[in-house]
Amino acid sequence: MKYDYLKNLKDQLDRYQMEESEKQDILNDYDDMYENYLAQEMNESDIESKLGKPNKIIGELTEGYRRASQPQSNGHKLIAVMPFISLVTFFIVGFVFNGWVYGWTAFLLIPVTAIIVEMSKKDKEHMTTALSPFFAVVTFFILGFFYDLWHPGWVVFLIIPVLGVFNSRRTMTGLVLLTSLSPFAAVLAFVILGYYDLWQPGWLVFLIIPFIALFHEENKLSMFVSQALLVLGVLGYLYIINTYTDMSYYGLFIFAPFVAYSMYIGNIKIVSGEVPVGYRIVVIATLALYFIVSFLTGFWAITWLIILAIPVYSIIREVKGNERIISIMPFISVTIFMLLGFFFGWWAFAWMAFLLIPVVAILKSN
Amino acid sequence: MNTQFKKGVIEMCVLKLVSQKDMYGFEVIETISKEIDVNENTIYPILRRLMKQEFFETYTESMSIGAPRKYYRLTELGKEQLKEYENEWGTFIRSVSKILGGIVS
Repeated sequence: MKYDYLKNLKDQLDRYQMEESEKQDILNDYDDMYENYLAQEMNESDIESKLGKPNKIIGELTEGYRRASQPQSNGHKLIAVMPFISLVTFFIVGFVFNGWVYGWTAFLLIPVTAIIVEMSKKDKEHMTTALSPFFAVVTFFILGFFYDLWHPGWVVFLIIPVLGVFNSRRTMTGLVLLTSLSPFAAVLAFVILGYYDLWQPGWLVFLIIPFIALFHEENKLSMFVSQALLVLGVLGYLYIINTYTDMSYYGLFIFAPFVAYSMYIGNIKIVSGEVPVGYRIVVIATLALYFIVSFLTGFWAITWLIILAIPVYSIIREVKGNERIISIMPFISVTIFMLLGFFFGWWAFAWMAFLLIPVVAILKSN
Repeated sequence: MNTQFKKGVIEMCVLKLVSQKDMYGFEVIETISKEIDVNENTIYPILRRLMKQEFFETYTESMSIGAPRKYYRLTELGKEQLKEYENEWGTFIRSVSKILGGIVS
């Protein structure tokens, strides 16, 4: 966006001791060049690449100018003191409440503060995605330590890919968003049903995915017939397994009309073309890998890490520059933390992986 | 090609173009980038630096459509600088040609 580009350029210029009139002159020139490129019907991303990123061109634009000394913002002061606050909190929780086992979570305040301060300025949309691993880890441990709900507590980690998709909604239509979120809703429902020992016929909730995806079908008659056959299949299957208890596998044949009709109308491209191909491949491949690895190893408590590939991919696509690595760092940290904890039992100090986040945020911030 | 060398050449080209006719910033950038394989974003800072060195002066001209345009005009100092560059360039090119042509003994 032109406004964002010029705002960014102004922020860069403000760091130098330069006359206001001169800054304005430069901004006017860039505004003018931007408009000229727009008049050539060039897209904004190409224009910004031609004009150069403000943080790259600022050196040449300010050649011979001294940098203005900048007072440290309140946010950065908070980042600077947070390690001490965390340390004090950790000891208070440990000594006073004997909470050494969970007291380390106080250190999560360090990356959380850094993310909030850094991302609230420029990348608000993806801030909740970056914060979600912390929310998920803390909630997971609360559920695990206090309520012994390690399973299905791990489901809380689904919030990470869900937010990854949800925060990229600007690039999607409502229906595409719903389609993208439907697998996660299905997994959640499946796990809840499974918790009550309803794995069978709980798996039927996964059929919500093709049901929603069918709304992308342009031919409304085909859409109606497909959805009707799917619903009839579900009802028929429920009837069969309730009437003939040992017929659950044979009962699957009730979906044959739905499958046959879908093949007939060529619904192999069941997901709309509006979803970028990359997203489709990553989501399908990730979920497939997740289920394959989980079933083969039985490590359900850890294999959900594979699903993090989806929000990471989304960030790589949507977030540019230094914010990209800052946004990805929480996922890397959670992965390191979980791998060290799960495979080596190093929970007590694996949390230090989270310190990578503020370190990267500080190193990469301008 | 070496970046610094390229920047020097572009500086000379900018002076030459504006010496032929007054031009607005975008026009200079477009003209040069069509002829020379160069990042467009390197040209404006050069233009700006040359103006600060008082090789250019600017004036605005209103347009029938859109905002007024800022035109660059070569100053006397700019003309002298261009002449100096042209002489240096001529000597440089002749020397390079001699070497490449194997004329130098």
